[in-house]
Amino acid sequence: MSFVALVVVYGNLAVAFNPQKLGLAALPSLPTGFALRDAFLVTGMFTGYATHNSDPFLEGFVRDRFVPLDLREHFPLRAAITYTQLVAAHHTDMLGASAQRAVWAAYATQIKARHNRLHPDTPISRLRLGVVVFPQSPLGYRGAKLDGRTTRFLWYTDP
Amino acid sequence: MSPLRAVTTRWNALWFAPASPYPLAAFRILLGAYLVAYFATMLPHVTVLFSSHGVRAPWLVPDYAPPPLLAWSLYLLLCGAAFALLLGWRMAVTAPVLLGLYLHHYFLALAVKHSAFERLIVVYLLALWLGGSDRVWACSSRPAHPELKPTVPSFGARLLRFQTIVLYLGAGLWKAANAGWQSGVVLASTLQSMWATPLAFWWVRQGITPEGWATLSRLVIGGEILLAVLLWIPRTRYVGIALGVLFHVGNSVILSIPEFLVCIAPYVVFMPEAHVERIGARLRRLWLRTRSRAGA
Repeated sequence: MSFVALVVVYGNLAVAFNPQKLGLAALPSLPTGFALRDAFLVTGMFTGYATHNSDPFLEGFVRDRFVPLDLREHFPLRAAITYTQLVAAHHTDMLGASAQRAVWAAYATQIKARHNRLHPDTPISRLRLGVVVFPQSPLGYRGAKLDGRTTRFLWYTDP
Repeated sequence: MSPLRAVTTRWNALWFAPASPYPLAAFRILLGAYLVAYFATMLPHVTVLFSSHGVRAPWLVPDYAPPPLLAWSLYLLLCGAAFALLLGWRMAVTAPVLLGLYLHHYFLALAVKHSAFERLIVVYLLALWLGGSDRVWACSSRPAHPELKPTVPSFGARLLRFQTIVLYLGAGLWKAANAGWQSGVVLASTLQSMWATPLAFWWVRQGITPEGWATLSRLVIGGEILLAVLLWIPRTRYVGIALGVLFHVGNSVILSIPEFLVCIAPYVVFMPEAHVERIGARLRRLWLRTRSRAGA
């Protein structure tokens, strides 16, 4: 119990009161390894922002062209959670862009296998994933999703 | 007394002094109910979330996704363990099994979301496992001697209080040091983002000025720091609890993140032990009366 108490107290103090995160970079930080920093990262929610919203998409290559796939067949949770899964929030924030690409590669393999298992009559040989981006609007999540105001970004194509 | 011995004595007095088991037991019941509901939301998606036939991004571990039948078995065990936690069945077995199953699902598929509340659940389960949370109000608790008041080490409740206070203080200070929060743009953007509910969009449509957003941001930051202080000071804890409940319920109405309601569960360990015991006894009497009426 003492060990658990020590780890929880130290981990929280080192991560939550990290001087760099509090704008006090001149002060020394308590030493933390990757595991401790990751385990006790509980105070950093909603610290970034964007001026746009986005709708992710999946496309599979059927015969001679890419066709849209049902996103919810592979990511069935609500839209915001799906986005964090697709963007691989944890991997990207903690390990960087290469970890994110590794997740996309794994997703592509899994989605192709899942799609072909569920739809053997229309198998896909390639997959691409990305987002359609549009400005934020007080009218609603897709309030400003008008033709001409959207931009399409292709994140990953496999192979 | 040597300095080392003095420190050890103080440490032991801090973490292991005898305390009432009722607040921790109440927390166990609340967390158990939350976890049963939280895991139940995944019921329609077990194959796609947790099996080798699904889509997942394991965190720091190889992809060990089991075949669907085994994935379902592990998921049902997870739900069963959460229910056993709620009932207080043999915590020495239930809590480590639940923790193990939770970590299995976390590292396999849940961690990718990078959610704070899922890390908190691990600390909560450790507090319940080691803290003697099945001493009372548990189906496996042995009846205490009528003249002996049951006690547990203060470890469980103290760990939960510490974690909760750090959560609010840290979150408030991180926001206070964030330029986007100082100017209000983070708040304005979040309330038009994928997390926003229709009520949040309605609020944004009221035409709040940039200065208004900055003021609202300062209120959120100040509220979080104040919440930590109010919960810290024993005399103001009920005010802190009221503010915290308001904050989390408000958050759940404005942002579609009901999962963060789990943060309310540990508030019960901030309440005076006698109050928790009395409220629990009343609820138990009410439950028994309702049951006997239904039986008649």
